[in-house]
Amino acid sequence: MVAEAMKEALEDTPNLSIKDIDNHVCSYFSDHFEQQLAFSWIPNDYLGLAPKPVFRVENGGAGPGTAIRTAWALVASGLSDICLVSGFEKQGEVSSAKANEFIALASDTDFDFPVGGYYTGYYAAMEARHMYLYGETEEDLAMIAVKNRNYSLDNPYAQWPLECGGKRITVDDVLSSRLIAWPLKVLDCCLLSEGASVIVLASQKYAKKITDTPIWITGVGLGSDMMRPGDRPDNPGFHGMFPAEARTYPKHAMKPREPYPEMTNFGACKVAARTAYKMAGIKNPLKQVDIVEIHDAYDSSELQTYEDLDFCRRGQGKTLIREGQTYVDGDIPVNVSGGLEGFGHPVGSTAIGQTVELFWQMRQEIGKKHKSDATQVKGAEVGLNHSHAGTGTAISVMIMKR
Amino acid sequence: MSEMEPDKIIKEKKPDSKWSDWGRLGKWNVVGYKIIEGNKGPRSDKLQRARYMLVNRPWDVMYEHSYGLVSRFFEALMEKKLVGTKCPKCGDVFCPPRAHCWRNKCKLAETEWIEMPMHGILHCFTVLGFAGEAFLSDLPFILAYVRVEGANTLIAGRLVGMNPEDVECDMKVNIKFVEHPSGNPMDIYFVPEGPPLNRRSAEEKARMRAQLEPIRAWVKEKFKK
Repeated sequence: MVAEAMKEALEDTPNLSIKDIDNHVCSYFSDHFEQQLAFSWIPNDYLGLAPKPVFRVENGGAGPGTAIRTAWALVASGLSDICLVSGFEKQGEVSSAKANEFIALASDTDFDFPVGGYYTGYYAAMEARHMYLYGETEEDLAMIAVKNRNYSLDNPYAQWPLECGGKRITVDDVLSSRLIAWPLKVLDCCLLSEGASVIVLASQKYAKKITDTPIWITGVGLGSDMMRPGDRPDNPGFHGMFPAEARTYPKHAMKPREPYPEMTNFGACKVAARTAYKMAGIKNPLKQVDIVEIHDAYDSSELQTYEDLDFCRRGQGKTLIREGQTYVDGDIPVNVSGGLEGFGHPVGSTAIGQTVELFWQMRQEIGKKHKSDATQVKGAEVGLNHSHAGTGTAISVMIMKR
Repeated sequence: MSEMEPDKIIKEKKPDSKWSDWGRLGKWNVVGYKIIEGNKGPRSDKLQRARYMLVNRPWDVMYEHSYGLVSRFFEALMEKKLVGTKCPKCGDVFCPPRAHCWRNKCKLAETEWIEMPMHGILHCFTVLGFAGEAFLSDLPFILAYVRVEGANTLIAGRLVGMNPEDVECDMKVNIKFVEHPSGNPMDIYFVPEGPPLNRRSAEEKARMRAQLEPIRAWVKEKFKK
């Protein structure tokens, strides 16, 4: 899978040669799915990269975003001129129930997992509280699932079209799909996937030798939060950091000691976004960012993430989707690749694959790469990639510019 | 400096002998296979066919896991007591417990054990219609995060004794013990303290009930319950 992605990168970039790559950062999530430790060594030698330095970056679901940030740091520091970032995952070797159990091993296995917890359950509990505070409905969430899944129908790299037979879905399809963890139904959730992707990062000097149309990384950020979501409502770590978000806590609910992010939002995302925005000189992301790829492991987390990325105020995520602002022709198109619900979620590859989609978008190549240019955001200059782990335990944000 | 003493067993319940072959049975042998013709290629519009061999390999492990410095919490569960920890410097209370305080200025102060009250507030919840393999036969069940009174952390567990459509955030719950605790967070469960708050509309309740019907049927069929 990694070799197929690399082959396409080489075909698209005639001036790039594997022998010029001097470092390799590899991302995969689980040692359990493939029963292979130190798996980054396999694609490294398979691609013919040995004896170049290789290592794995692992940070849960934010592994791929963290890998890109690590590679960026290698290049920015001068340790590498041309660095390969690869990512892959194979989740299909075990049943869905076992796969969910494997993924749940990234949650607390002493307290949260043994009572029957797993990620959809944790996210559902967080969304149930977000709904209770801010009043979005199951229909609002379903609109996001419909948006992402239907956009994926035009993407030949996406998984959902194969599963649904290319048929568009409606809000009613989502609402009537099987309950997984209230309020989330199966169509509110991402896919279990197999897949791989690669990107190549190069210093300014080398980038121009490789391509006439490079895309520049102008900001990177990474944040973290408590591993157990139950440790967040009173966590002193966020004290006083985001007073505006804390003030939006509605009066009808019992207010915890730290009203933001508590169990309804992702503080790690806010930290990552503010860091990346500052580095990239972005003051108003809604106006200054043209296209976004979010880690929509659940449509609920896409809605919550709108708020944590400062696209709107806390509690206004529902307004953004109701007004259609995150559609391809909206103010800030989100997940027009299909996202994790449509494109797929091969965890270690996810944010790298989404970066590839942003790269094509910003080079105006969607018409060439997809079945049509229906999801091409015309003139996209600034892109945002978001990579997310745990219950929001580690989150990266990256800003790219044409 | 005294010499390190070997570990001393204070109390032990050996696993049933049925578990003793656990590691040996799943020994990574090929116990089945399939040869298939499948797809190859990254784009769904340009797929080629290819032949693959798939093998079935069982693999499993028996762990001996230490609860470390919060062992007392689990030992207390076996005595049907709910305990937590308290930072002697800032007074924050942890249930689930932390052996060291989380506050930077307390510089990882060691916490002290305290007994916790058997009631609290349900912070948030979900009704599970799918789960990890080990829990499928329990479906559907209510998973809740509860703030035990006085605690600064929330504990996860099951809520029983209430229809899922009546469960709401911020409601009061009591904490109960199972009859035979085993040193597992499942030894405690939550029950509502009073009648439903009834903030959810009749329409919303009906929708939740309808979502759960097929789950109950699926579990009944799959596990012949």
